[in-house]
Amino acid sequence: MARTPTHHDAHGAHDGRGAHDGRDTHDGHDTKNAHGARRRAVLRNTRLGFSRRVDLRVVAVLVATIVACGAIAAYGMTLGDYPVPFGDVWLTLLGQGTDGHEFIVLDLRLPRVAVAVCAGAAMGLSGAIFQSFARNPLVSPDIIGVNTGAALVAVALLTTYAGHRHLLELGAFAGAIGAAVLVYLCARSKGLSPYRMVLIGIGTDAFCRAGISLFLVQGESTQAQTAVLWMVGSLHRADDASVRFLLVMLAVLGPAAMVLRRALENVQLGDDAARALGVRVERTRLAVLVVGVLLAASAVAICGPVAFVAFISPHLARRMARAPGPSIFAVAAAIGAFLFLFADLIAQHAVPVGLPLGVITPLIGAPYFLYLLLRASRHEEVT
Amino acid sequence: MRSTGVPWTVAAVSLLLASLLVSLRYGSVSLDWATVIRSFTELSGTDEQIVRELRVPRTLIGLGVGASLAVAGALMQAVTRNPLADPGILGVNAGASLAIIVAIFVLGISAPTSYVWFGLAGAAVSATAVYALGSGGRGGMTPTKVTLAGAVLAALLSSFTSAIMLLDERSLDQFRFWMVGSIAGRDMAVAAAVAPFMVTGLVLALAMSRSVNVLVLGAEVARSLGQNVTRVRLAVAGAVVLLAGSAVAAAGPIAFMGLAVPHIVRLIVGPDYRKILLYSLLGGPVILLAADVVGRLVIRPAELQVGIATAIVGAPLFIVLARRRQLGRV
Repeated sequence: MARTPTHHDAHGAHDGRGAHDGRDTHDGHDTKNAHGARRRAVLRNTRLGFSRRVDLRVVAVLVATIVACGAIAAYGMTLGDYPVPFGDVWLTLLGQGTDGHEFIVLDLRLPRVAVAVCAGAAMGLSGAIFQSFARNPLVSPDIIGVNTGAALVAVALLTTYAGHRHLLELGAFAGAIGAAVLVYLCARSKGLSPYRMVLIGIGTDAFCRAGISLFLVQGESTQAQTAVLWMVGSLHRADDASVRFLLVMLAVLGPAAMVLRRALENVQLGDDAARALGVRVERTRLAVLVVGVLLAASAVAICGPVAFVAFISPHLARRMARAPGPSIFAVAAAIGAFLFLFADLIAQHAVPVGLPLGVITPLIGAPYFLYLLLRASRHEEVT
Repeated sequence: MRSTGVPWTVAAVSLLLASLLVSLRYGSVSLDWATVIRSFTELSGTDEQIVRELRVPRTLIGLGVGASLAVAGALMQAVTRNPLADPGILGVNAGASLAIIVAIFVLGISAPTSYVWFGLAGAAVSATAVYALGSGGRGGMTPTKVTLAGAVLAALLSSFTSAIMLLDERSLDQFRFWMVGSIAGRDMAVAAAVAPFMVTGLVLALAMSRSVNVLVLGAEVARSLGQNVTRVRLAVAGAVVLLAGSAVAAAGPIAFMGLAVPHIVRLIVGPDYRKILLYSLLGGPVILLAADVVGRLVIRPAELQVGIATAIVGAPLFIVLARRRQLGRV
């Protein structure tokens, strides 16, 4: 879908927001293209030299998703063996609850919700980064070797030594990074071609999978079941330490991804065009890759390779916001968080038997995605 | 483009014959050539029985599965024009897996021989669903839609599979051995059950190779050259379902073969799909059987399943190839 040039942007300003002694301007326009209306606005502050064009539909989808996340998180914290009314949850979060409520809400339920939000956002964002990077709609961190690298180490730990469970997160993180570094080093020669990197990633992925199968077949069936549980992905290991870890990673990597967006958009035009525009292609690629891998690795280390979220969040974001590539990074992150929260709500409260979150995520994402796919017209680009 | 490939064909066929013979001879009990030959004429003797009743079915299944996966992978990469496509993308593996674990869980079936029909049925149903979803809606069938529908449906089906694995430890215990992908412990009945599907699929694939060459140029170009694109795509899809479905039913999901073999072949023979399909057909079994023999020998007397062995042997090879040369784009 082509971006329509908005020649209106330059003029027609009216005072939009009152901040900064009225020097902020806010232009809103309707521009039409072949596929329907696109509303854009320009946020501009001449004193700070800040000017950014904003796609209003992207913003609207982002806000709606965040609101939905908040609602689901709040609702999820009221449910459980000991129901807490919504008002009490709110008071407890503000620090005015009773001791009992504090224990239940802050110690038991909040970490789980926080991990769901952070890990979901990290996975959605990293999926968007990888799909933009490789310009291939089938790419997600799953097939770059990150998930299977983590899973290989985790399954090895779970099926061999029962005593090393506390190393699980660390080991999985190291496995993910190790696999990604291996792929990068193998793929690098006279510049980094995403195409070759994806192929090598698939090779690495297959190799790790073989190792996982080996451990699964050799071990006893109880251990194999623990390993399968880890590989499906769940939130039952969420605690304060993992929340802190994910928050730190997101606080560093989220803004980094946003900063890299523009350079990545230019790289997508093709290497030569990007160089002509003054982008350092190789450096951008490496930076994008590091950010994407670290995001995926931190989420996987805590929750296991929850399938589908990293793959489907960017697709959903692109289709809902009707915008291409890197412009939907934030939306993809929000949708990832939403999928995690919603799936965990169902996994914990709606299913009669205890199932982990990773079983539920495809059940939510897939039908909606298939519906979108059936509605899509032929000319709509999927990448 | 090279005009004839007679030396290459001769080399590939002799490699194939050699790998068949090696697969008959080596294993946890190593035999000599005389025993292998005698086993076809004399009915008595333990060693002869090993060859006749264990290794011959295993080798035949390896031959069929290797050829089917490689050809199906080449067809998938051609028709989707996506180098990452493999037969699994149609949801074939996920469908077969779900059907088989349901059979284990609900019906209590435990012999790999009886998995075959469930696997075939599951693969066929899910591939049909993928095509229906990929061609529904506005705009009809496009490769991208089919690929995406397949990836999404596969994820959906495998979440049911993992749910059963987590709820019932006994199902998991049996299923994990099938899930790895193996050609051991199957008898001639398995080979006979899948052979008609495989042969039909392979004949269809080779008959389509000329049309596939045109289709790779893109649907618009193919249409302007007078090709009935929809019919070609349907025929290719039918071949892929027959090949990949029967392969997964016979041996379980051997993930890597369908992806890697066409890439390796393309490096050697160039972009002509008449050659790619022919050499995938010949090269697939060579790689599968070689990996299987290696798997039998490395941790004797135990065995490494062929699904593991192909990846452990094939993945480094694939990485080295991808590194050393610019892999041809599809």
